[in-house]
Amino acid sequence: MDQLIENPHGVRIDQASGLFQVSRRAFTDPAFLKLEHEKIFEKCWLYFGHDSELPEPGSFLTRTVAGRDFIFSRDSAGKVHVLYNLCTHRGGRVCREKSGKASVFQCFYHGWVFGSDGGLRLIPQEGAYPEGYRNDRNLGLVPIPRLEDYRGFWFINFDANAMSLFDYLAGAKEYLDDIADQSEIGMMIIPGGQNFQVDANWKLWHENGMDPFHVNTVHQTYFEYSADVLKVGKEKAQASGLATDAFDKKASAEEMMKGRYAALMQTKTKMSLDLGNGHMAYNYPANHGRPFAHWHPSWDPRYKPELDHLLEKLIARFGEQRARRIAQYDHHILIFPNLAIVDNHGIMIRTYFSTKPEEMLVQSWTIAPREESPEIRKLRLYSYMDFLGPAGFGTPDDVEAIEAAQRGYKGAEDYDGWNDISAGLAPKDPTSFMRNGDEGRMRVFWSKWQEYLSN
Amino acid sequence: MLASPTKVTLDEAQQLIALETELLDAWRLDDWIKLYTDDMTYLVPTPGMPDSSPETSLFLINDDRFRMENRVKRLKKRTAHSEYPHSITVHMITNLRVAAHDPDGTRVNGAFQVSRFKDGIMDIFLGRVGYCLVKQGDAVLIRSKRCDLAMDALVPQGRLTIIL
Repeated sequence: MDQLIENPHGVRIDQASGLFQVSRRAFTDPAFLKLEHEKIFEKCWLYFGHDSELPEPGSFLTRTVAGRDFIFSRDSAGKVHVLYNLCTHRGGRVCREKSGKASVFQCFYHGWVFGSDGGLRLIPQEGAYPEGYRNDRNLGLVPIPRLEDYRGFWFINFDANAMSLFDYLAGAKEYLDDIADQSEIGMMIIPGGQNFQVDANWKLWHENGMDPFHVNTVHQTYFEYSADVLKVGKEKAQASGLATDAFDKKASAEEMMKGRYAALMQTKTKMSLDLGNGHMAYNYPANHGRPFAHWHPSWDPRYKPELDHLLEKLIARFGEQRARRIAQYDHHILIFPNLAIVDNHGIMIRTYFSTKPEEMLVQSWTIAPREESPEIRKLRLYSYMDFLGPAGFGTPDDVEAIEAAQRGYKGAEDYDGWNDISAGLAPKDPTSFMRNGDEGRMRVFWSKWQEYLSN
Repeated sequence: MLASPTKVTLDEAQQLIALETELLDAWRLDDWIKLYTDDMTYLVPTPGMPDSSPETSLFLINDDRFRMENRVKRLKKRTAHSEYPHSITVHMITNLRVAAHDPDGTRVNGAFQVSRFKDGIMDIFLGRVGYCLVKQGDAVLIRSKRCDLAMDALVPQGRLTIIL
């Protein structure tokens, strides 16, 4: 261990002896959280919302991101703004509705009126101020320093000197394209954004999204359910004369892992596992139906013609290879620091932020092709809950696992506790990656986390 | 007045719903699901979406009989980690009234409060409930149940792994 590189920021690495560990203090110590807020959340691009949430000029919504309250608004000229939701006069909360349409926002405290572009329109006692005061003093609602979008996904940045969002997203852009291109006319957020609290540090949730080793153990009941669905579905499909041989693989965790790692192996040899700037993503062949656009015997045969047609249209647009990747693979995209997009039984967009080390607020949404038929939309919304959401058959068990870990970290300072994520760093059997995967994806995140905190 | 052969009375509704709460609190889920018809639905919209439909909005739960049976099956396993060991619950349903009789059945509305105690933490789920009840032979059964949570985020509850 004499090669050990230890630094004050919670990650210790010894490449030669194959060791990569994260201090449990990174999840419990308020000093770390403060550093993260300052050095990560005030420097990185943070997902804010989707273009479709502001359907027309005057549309607005209020949202808390990175612990601040904002108004997300589209002005009369169609331009999108993110404005601090507080009056420049005396700090009253300017907009108290969740969403709606308005040409102006009036602060209820003293009546100052602002436009949907944030500009100050009216001071009730204007005569009490010098000539031109309203326009000269920059008294409009305070805008976020940087606001940029990539294909309808709007991100904010507190650092006016940050690199462009385009550059920041680096190799993650092509994975976001595989989501955005599921529609020819634009994706839309479906009503029903789900916010919930998890009693664990935000990084545990992000880590969980990259962690290959929890899948078999944490989600065993999901795989058993999946197998039951497939069994019933196959009988139904065969009864209506549909061949299911192509889908005739065991819907087991083992089978799914095989597909996942075969796919991962390809990306790893192309060195695209690490997409740059701390982002990572992976695709693997789906062993369930996908609302865009993959019929599977777990779904009623009546959906097959439409889903097959969607796939044909996709092939015409993008060619066989990319179309099959979009339609028949599940996609996990993790954008540093706190955005996850999971595209499996539906598409889940999720962010997480901690204001105390031991808890986080999770915000999640689902998104779909705007032109989707009512039948497939209904199927999508039903299917989502097969795994996803706070009452799905998968997500709550992830929550249980990370909450249990967080609870366990209490007292970790007594024995200088470290989490071990060394798997795959220096494998004695290099082929073990194919069979078991490794923790390399998590190291992509932690290496970038450490880099930001050290700067 | 004689009891109607098809309409469910408030008294019958109260008996059935009280039984449901008792079976849920005792985790007798196989007996509980027998209170439901084959074409049942159990809906919990995303909090803050009172007039939403599961066909156009994202829900927390949108179960038909098939998925409900699988939810029960899952909750009985020790590998359903979020409910192992089972949390301790108390279901309270009150303010019940018969709101309407329509072709689908008798509509009974009320309010619910469900407490969930696990690992030293007590979470409360509060909201409005709407039942659709039907008579099948001598039995009164639940055809649908919709629980609208009176909150707009699962804060601090975080998840909904018990049946409301």
